Amino acid sequence: MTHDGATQVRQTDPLSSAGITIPADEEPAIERSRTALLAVAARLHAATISGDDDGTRP
Amino acid sequence: MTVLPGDIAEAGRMLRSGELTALGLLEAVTEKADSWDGELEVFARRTSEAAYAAARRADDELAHGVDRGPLHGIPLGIKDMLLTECAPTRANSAVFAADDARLRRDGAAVRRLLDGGAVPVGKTTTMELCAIYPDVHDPDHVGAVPRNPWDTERWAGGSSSGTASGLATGMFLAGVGTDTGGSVRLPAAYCGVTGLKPTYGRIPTDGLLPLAPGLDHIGPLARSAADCAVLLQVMAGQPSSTDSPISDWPGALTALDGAGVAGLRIGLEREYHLDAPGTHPAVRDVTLATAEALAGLGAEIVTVSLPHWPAVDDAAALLSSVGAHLTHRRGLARDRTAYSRRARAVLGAGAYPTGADVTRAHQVVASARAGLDDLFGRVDVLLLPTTVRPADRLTDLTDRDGLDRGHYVRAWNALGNPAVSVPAGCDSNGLPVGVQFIAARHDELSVLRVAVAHQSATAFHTRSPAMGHATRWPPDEGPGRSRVLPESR
Repeated sequence: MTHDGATQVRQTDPLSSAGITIPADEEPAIERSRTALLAVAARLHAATISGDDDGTRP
Repeated sequence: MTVLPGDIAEAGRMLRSGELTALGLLEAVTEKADSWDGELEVFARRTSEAAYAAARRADDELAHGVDRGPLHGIPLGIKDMLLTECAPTRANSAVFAADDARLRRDGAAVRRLLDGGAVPVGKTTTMELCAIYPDVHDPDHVGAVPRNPWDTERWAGGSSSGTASGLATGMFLAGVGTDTGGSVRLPAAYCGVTGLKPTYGRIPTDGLLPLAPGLDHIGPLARSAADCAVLLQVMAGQPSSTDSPISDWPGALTALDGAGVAGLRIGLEREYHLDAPGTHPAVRDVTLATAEALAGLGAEIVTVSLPHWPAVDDAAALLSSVGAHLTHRRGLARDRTAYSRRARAVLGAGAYPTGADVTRAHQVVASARAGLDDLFGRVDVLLLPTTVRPADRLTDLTDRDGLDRGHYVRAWNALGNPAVSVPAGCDSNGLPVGVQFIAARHDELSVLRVAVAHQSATAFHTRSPAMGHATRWPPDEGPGRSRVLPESR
């Protein structure tokens, strides 16, 4: 699973690996929450903050 | 209708002069609870036995010259996230039902309040686990749906819902809540009371059911900023840092009354708050009217910028979601049925951000802290709205816009600065609108100083819903208008 701004590729679903089961009828709800949260993460990576553009980072 | 003392200070004077007994005060607030709790769902459970025992002891002690201080005999509502010996703590959830015996103890802050003579009248309602909006559309929804005393079709705010609505309706005079992403300040604003999120770490979190450690704060709610100062002083105990600006609290808090704001520089941010597209016009008008009122009291209002503020807000939202997931990760794996459907979705989603995402969030917060250190060298206090809009209808509480509801509050949990929300006006429907005063970390005195000065010149904090206190001052003169009282007040 990937999302904008993060390069990590997950091999397993984080909820499954934590032993948390999601019934099929609840998958749309968690997908909505997941999508909203990952959009937040993507905006964080897209934002420019102090230090990002001062030439000290390759 | 029983006319209650308006605040802790007035109740204290009446208790010590013999006009009122702690038992009489308890009976008066109990009458309010009996009348309105069924409709408002202020209490998760009432603690009558402990309350009557504490009230009788308070009267007996005063009769024998024992005075425990400003909270002696004062009815107290305690959020159902804070452990108490006198009643179970459930967080509006089934998750902790099997842990009653293990969790029956007073946390440090609660212990200090009770040792100070406060009378615990009950555990007040919260959102499920302090995080999940009540879902009136879900036929399987269990737990309280706290209603707003100004309009019972609307939400009281959360997650310290019952503490705020109980104060607004006179069911107690002192309240304690918790704030991980605005949970003291939002319900304070929606219900027309005052709520303080102190500096992170100021009040020990021992005995607090965690939501997102690192963001969780305990904070007071009350009818006035002066009352919040009293509660903060008691809950914080002895300062742990010798360089704290509030190391001399008794003297400093006495100095709050009458300190005024003349000469203070108060920063007002427009781009991401007042001029943001989603900001309700009444919220904008009330905030500007507050600035005008403070300028009239001698403060200098300056426009400031908060660079990259949406990123700071996003960082706080992400850290809160991941933290809440980690808190409930084992619980979700062990017994998912103890969580509502909505909770399973919201808390489960916190598993998905990556380590890089969390690190980026911390970088954004660190960058913002550095900027604020500079900003608070130029201004004493920030003035910002507390909420994006007045209280929502219960039927409009959805996950879809859940993140936007906390836009103006949650960043301060990640940053750790003290922030107090005070009632500052109302919308065209008469719903309360609040503003926040925020200062540098460890500088609670400045936010309380401005809040006390504001409340000495306006009457918004004395307004009450029809079902609550008798109104003790004439109502304000309309939406967005600060009512500056005559100097003789």
